[in-house]
Amino acid sequence: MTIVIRSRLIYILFLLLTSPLVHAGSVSESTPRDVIDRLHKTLIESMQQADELGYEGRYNLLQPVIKESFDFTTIARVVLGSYWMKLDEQQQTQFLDVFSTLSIANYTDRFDSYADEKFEHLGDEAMKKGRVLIKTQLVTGERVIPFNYVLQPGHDRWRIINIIADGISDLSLKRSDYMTIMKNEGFNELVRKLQEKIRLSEPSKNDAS
Amino acid sequence: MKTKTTNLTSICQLLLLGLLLSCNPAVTAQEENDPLEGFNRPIYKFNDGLDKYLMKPLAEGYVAVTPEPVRNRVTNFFDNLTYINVIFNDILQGKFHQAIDDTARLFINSTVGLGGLFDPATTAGLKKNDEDLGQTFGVWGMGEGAYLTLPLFGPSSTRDAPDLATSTALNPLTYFAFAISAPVSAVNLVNKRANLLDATRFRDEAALDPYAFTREAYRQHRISLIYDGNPPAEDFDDFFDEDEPANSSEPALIIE
Repeated sequence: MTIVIRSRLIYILFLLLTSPLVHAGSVSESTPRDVIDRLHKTLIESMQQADELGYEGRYNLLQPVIKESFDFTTIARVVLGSYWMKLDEQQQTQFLDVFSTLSIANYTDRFDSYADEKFEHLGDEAMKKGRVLIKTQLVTGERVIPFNYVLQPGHDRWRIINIIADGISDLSLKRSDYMTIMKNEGFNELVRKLQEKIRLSEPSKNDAS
Repeated sequence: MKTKTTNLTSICQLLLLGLLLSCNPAVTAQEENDPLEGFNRPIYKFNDGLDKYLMKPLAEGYVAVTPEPVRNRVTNFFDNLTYINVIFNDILQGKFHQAIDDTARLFINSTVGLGGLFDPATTAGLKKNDEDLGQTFGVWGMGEGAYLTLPLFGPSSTRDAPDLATSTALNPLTYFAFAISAPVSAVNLVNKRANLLDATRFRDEAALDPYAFTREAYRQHRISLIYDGNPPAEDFDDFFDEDEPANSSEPALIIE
């Protein structure tokens, strides 16, 4: 009991000492809106220069921005649900690596041509636990597709933890899909299937880097 | 005439069956909403085979030979035919203002829009709405029921399947002679499949278990429709907190 109370006190003290630093630091340098604007700008760039850049060029353009914009650790934990804690550290690292590579590969593959698409910012909404929902839409010809992002403040900056495209939560889709594989086929099969998807999305490369 | 009566009777039976299944608490209590997975998966496999070897190639061929503006006209035409069902469900959901707008929309597009081929109503500010009986049950507070994969029709649920009955009964095409309705329905199917080519490409790129992926995509899409495209934002971060206690060792949890 005493230990719990003491650890609470230590924690509160810790919070009081460090919170202002965290807030005065880089989280406040980038707003959730900045993260989304930067991502959208890079995606449009990738589409506009698709042919000059080729697959590898687009991958290299998108990789740093996507890595900085998404909180892959939180996403990985959520998509594997209760299975995440059952993995050892090495497996968790392996999953994170394959999963983030596939995410970048998917973006590289999908944003590969430009037809005057544009992203429009519609508004923000506060969510539980300091999270923020940024509402945007992708306008392409006559079609308008809503793209909403859930962001949470990380140690250094705001990061995306979910995308809801046209009403469908990407995280829910992956969670349902990956947890089914974990349940029926296990971790090794999950990783093998993810690696296969990476290979499928990069037709011009023989090996995943 | 006799065939039509029989059709309507079987439609009513299907509707009743759907309602009974939707109301069964044992069915709705399942965590993944998929107590019928054992039946659904083989049907999914059958549908997938049919799609791979028949519907998808047909749809791709259709896209190759039909310019997009023509395909848009075809889509408009069939959407317009479903609009009586939309108005019917506007009323059931108590959206009376929307029901008036949708009736005006149906009238304008059926006349000025040349039988629905064109969509002058949207230009006039009457936006297209998407309502069906499954959404009405959702608005009334009914849960999803059990996930269902229907032969030929694909993903559905015990709450959503009864809409097949009302949407068929309220579609004017149902009341034309078979010689007319069959080929027209075939065009509708191919056009519908063509409109889904992007979605299935996305599925093929991303899904590790296409059945589970489709089930979740369907579920999410239905929730979005029930809330008319604006589901509560909180629904999107439920699982973050759900997993936190077991998975995080951060001191933040101690003070909660």
